[in-house]
Amino acid sequence: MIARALGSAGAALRQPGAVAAALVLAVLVGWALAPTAFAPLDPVHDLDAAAPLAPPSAAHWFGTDVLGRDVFSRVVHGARVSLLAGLVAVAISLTIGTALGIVAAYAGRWTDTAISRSVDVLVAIPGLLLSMALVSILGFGVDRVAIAVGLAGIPGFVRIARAETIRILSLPYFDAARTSGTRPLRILASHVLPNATGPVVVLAGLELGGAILAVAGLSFLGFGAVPPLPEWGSMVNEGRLHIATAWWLTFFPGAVVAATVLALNRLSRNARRRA
Amino acid sequence: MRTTSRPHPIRRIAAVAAAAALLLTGCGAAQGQPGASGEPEAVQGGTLRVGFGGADVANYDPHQRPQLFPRTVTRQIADTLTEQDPETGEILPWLAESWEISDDTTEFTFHLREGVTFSDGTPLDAEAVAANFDRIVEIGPLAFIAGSYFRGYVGAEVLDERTVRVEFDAPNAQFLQATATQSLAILAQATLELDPERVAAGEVIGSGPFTIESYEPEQRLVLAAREDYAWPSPIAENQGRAHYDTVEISFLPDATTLAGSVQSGQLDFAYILDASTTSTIEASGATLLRTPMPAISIPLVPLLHREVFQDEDLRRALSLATDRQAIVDTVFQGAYVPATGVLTTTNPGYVDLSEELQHDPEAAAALLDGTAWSTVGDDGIRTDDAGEPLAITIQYTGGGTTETLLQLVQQQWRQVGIDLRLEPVADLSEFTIHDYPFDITTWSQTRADPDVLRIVYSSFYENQSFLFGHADAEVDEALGRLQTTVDPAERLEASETVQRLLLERGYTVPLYDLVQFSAAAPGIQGAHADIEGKPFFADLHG
Repeated sequence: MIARALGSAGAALRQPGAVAAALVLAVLVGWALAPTAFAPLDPVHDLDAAAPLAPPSAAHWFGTDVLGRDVFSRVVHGARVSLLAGLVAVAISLTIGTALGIVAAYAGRWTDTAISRSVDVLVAIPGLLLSMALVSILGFGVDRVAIAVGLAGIPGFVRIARAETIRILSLPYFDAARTSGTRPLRILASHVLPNATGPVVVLAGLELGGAILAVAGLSFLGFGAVPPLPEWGSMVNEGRLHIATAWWLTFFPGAVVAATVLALNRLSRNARRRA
Repeated sequence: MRTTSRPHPIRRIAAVAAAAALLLTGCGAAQGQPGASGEPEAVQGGTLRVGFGGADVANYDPHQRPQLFPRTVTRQIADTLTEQDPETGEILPWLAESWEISDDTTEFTFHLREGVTFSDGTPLDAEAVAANFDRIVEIGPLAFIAGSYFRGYVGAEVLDERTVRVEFDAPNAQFLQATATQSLAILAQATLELDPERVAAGEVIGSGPFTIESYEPEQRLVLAAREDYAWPSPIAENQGRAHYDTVEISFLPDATTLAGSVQSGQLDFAYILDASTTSTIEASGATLLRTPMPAISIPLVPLLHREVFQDEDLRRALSLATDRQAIVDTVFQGAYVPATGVLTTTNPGYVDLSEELQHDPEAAAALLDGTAWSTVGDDGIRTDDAGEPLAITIQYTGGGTTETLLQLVQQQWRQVGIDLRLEPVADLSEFTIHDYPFDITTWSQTRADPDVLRIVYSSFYENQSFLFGHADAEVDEALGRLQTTVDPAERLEASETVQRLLLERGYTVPLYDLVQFSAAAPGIQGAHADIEGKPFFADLHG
């Protein structure tokens, strides 16, 4: 619902879309930072034995699940898990990817060939598939899923960082720095890195949405959150069996994932236009 | 089959529709008679589309594999010496017209029916039966369930063309019921001579109403009707050839897809539906078959080789801390039944021990107060003197209902200070029971005989018996008594002794009795099942 509202509002008027996206993100960050302030009930230990699978009501906004847990409270508490996993994943992709990209462009020759061709090979494998392969080596759990998604996201950052670095290396101020005898590491730190960050940050915003979706997807497949930890993807999975009788189990966590990803994409698009 | 109507907390279906569906279930399942619309044509031809609710087990040698899918396929392609009445558990004649059992239950003499042939044309005679039994013993660990029925096997002697005598070196009363299980299905000589791997891959010749026409692992299994079939089970409706020409079995691990396919008629029959999907099936006009399984009640079994479970009081406290009614009501929405013994109600060895399976958290806490974990920490979890928490870890695969169940047990045990830790994994197969690096596990074993207790809870079988290496003389002794008589009353008494010991000493925490659900699409008649819920494809017609 939120997603559709976002989409149509965004099409009609550009700015209100961004405002709505920012609002969504603000709420999510609030949920993640202080879940108990928003959620009425404990997501794990409060079992409403009298009302398992109760539809949405004033007492339970998003209804209750099979064990009588409040779905709204679980979604709110799940924000921390999902956002944190997304951030960890992007941090991994960003640091490793950017470093490799800059090194490839700066060192050139066989280093560049080795890194770029490896990245080409990785890009040929769908990201989610790569994450699944990695997570089956690393083991189950949200933290490991985040690492797997992060590693699978490296190639995108390598390419962007490499392209940006090559662009900067052709600029006059780089030649100036080099001919004046500045050491390579210093050139990278003070000239290349600051100027390459713009596009990389835009990509990071986009990737954050993708990473949250990938983490939720892997949790949906059962690789992620270990119960009873509330996580959006595994909540959708838990509700799957009951989709014919209790739609709220899958709808609300799914809608929140969609809203999060759309909001992040909307904001990164704004950032890109500005950059 | 019992028909139980229980209040359903969430079902909101028009009462009329529900009643109609129940009525259909009643017709199909209970009376075992052709549909009300009149006698079907003897042969209607065409293909019966069947969906199995799970991944392909990929082993169709009945002697080897104890899982339900292969057993169900075996029921269609091979026959057994005896049949078991789904309602009373009584053993009925089938390929064996009659039999005699020596007083000490060491000798079983079977008199075979005349004129039965395998689908390759060879006769099903005493020679063939003896060869089957020899083969089961020969392939050893491959046939671990079937092999366990042959403990103390001396040999099978062919007395004449239609008489075979099986001899054991010790009493083996369970053997009669074993001959009714698909594990002891009679296969043709040509199959027995093959490498067991080829048999597993679907090269199986039996004397049943169907033959395996083609098999693509994990894709489909196609059965073809046998034209000259004329010796059906005493509980089958169709006394001749199958109504359909072929049966096409596909594998649908996704529970909602399977349920949706049979409701919409994309499938004619769905075998093993998830309990959560049954309320929508009843509303759709499909015929729901409900079979309370004759088995062990699904338990959580504390593994005795684990340090934490050396303490009997802790093991017993687990049972007291468990609220079985809540599990059945929430996790299974009332589709299953809380355990009232170590065996399920439809097992001939069932004894009502519900007194021993009460939910009593206070008593559990009192028991735990007397153990090393007497202090309750700030987080509600008990610790021992060294400050180590009372943690029990379980590994499981597949998520779904199992995961929901374990989450509820986790909350229930938490009330008395036990921390049940869940560890989902992709694959459990690399461990056996006795080097399993986790504390507790669940188990399922179907058999309509109290002897299932011997397989699961004795100390006899390395890969199947939870007391292996931790023998309890009294349990083993009572299980031995189960073998010395075919008298139902005496066996029931031995069964009760075993079950009481298992509960008193905390060897098992029975949770619930499994009910198996299958469904025939709207318009498909003749759906019924045997005592283990396996359908008769030859009886289905449009």
